[in-house]
Amino acid sequence: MNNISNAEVNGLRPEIENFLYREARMMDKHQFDDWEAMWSDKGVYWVPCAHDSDPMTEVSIIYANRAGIATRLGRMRSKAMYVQDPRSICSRIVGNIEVYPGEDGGVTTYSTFNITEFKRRGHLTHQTTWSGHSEHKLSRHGDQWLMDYKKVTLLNSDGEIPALGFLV
Amino acid sequence: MLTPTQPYVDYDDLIQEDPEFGFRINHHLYKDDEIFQQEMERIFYKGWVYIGHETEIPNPNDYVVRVMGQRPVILSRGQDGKVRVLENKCRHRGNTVCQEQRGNSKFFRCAYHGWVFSNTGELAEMTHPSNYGERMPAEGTMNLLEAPRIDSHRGFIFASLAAEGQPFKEYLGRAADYIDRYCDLAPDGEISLSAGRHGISYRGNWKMQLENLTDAYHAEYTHATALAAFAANSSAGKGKFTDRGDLEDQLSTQRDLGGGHAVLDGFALNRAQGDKLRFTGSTGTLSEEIVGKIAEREGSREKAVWLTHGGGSHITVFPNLMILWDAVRTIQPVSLHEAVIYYHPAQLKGASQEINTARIMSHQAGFGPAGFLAPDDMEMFERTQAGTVSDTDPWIYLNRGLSSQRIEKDDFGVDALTSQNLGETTQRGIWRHYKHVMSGE
Ligand code: FES
Ligand SMILES: [Fe+2]
Repeated sequence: MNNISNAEVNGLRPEIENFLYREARMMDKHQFDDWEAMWSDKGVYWVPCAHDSDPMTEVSIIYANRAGIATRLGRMRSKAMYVQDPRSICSRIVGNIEVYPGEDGGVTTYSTFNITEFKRRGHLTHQTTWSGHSEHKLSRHGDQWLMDYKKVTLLNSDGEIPALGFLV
Repeated sequence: MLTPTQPYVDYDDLIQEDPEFGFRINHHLYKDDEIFQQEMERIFYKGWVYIGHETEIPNPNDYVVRVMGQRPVILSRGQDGKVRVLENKCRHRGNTVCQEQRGNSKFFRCAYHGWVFSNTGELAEMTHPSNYGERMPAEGTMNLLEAPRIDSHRGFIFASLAAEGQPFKEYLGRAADYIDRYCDLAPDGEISLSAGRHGISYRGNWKMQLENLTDAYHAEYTHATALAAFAANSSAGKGKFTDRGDLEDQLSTQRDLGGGHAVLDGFALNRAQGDKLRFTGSTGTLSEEIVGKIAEREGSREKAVWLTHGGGSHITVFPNLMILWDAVRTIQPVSLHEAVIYYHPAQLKGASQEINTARIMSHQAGFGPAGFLAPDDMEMFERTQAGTVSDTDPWIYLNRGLSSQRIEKDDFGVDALTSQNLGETTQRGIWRHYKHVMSGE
């Protein structure tokens, strides 16, 4: 497929932004089926530890191919994934969205996110924030866009972070 | 002079053994600040503590920053090639002198007033020294403080901040056999912690992780979703937990190795399962490559297979080192009710990159902040900590396996206090040693 031009990218911008906002809502609401449907068969989902690491030689927080994503979601759907029992209440803002022509007629986006997570455990409550940068590579399939690749770099990725049980 | 009142903590009272009720610990051990302070003094500043691995600082001038108890230190390989543990604290006004996590530097320069310390600890340059006049500190008295004792075993570096105390070999005791077996699994006989690390923090006492690694009892419940996921999908590390069932109950054992060290011993179970060699941290096919190389090294396929049979063992080295499957982990107490666990994937020297990558993938499928296993453990630790608020009955009874435990020879032919793996023999061993150390015996 031919690469798209910069002019075309500008025309696509509203639907690409909408894709990212929709993805954010699916993650906030723990709508795992809908989120999974936003991935293409190529899907690679990477949450590195260090900013310039090589996932083949250095440990990551998450590195999953499409099958690994499915396995992860299978576990997340269960009530017995205790780190999410009850599930976190999340609200995230996605912003600073940049859209560029990608490979094979796709687009590459860079964006920034800020998540407020509220957790309740019995009588205890805890509120915390997570933030970082995302890179998406999206490809077009008929009338919809799907994720081929998503890299999420948490601000504190190479530090000590609490258990991460919801989607980023 | 004002002397702070020291509330007296009686560890005999907090950790009790009695024919009537068996073995019990008081949950104040997880929530009393005085106890936490005493743990820092008696366990982390007096005893041997794991600091890091040689392969993290392979070259002269390499360093990593660590925390010993709560004290910031630098694990430094000096210009002279010698490894030291230096306090990360300027001798002028006490500023930390190193701000990076790791790096390579001959000197640590304190930014506040410009004192420069060599990575061997010596004060290399004092700015405007003449101003001290006759009060000039004597040569050598203003060096970075150095842990007086440091030693290593198979690349694992331990240090003690006390000039005198238990000899290192005696401290490491029987844990050495299990560490050896783990390292021997690498074709070159060495592991390398060169694949980075990740850290997970939890709002609970540090000892919860210390006890948890050899708690086989929780796996079936806490980790139900992880076990199901691993069984269902090979890319996340198939074979780790599948179809074990009754076999595990009968053959898997937990052993109190003494000195607070403990192991969930996988030898018998793996042997019974023949050549599956599941616990080398990757799939059977990949493991075959390793077995071949070890067999060549050892001149014995039998020995190679024996080594892989021990591969599933969970090894706890008191107070802060744990070795399991594909990674080495450390516990870092942060405060009374907060701790961090760091995981360093252990790469096998002499194995192909394919195998070592598979080990990284297998490790991170389970552990780290978003693995399938660790987050649910953290959740349990936080719930345990939440429960310590209620003092109505402060006792935790650790009586599982007490009536059936026995002295038995392990795979190294040495007697060890042993029970079936769903017991609490290892927890009792840890607490018995803890009591010994904390009572200052
Ligand atoms: S505090 Fe380091 S030079 Fe003054
Ligand atoms: Fe666990």
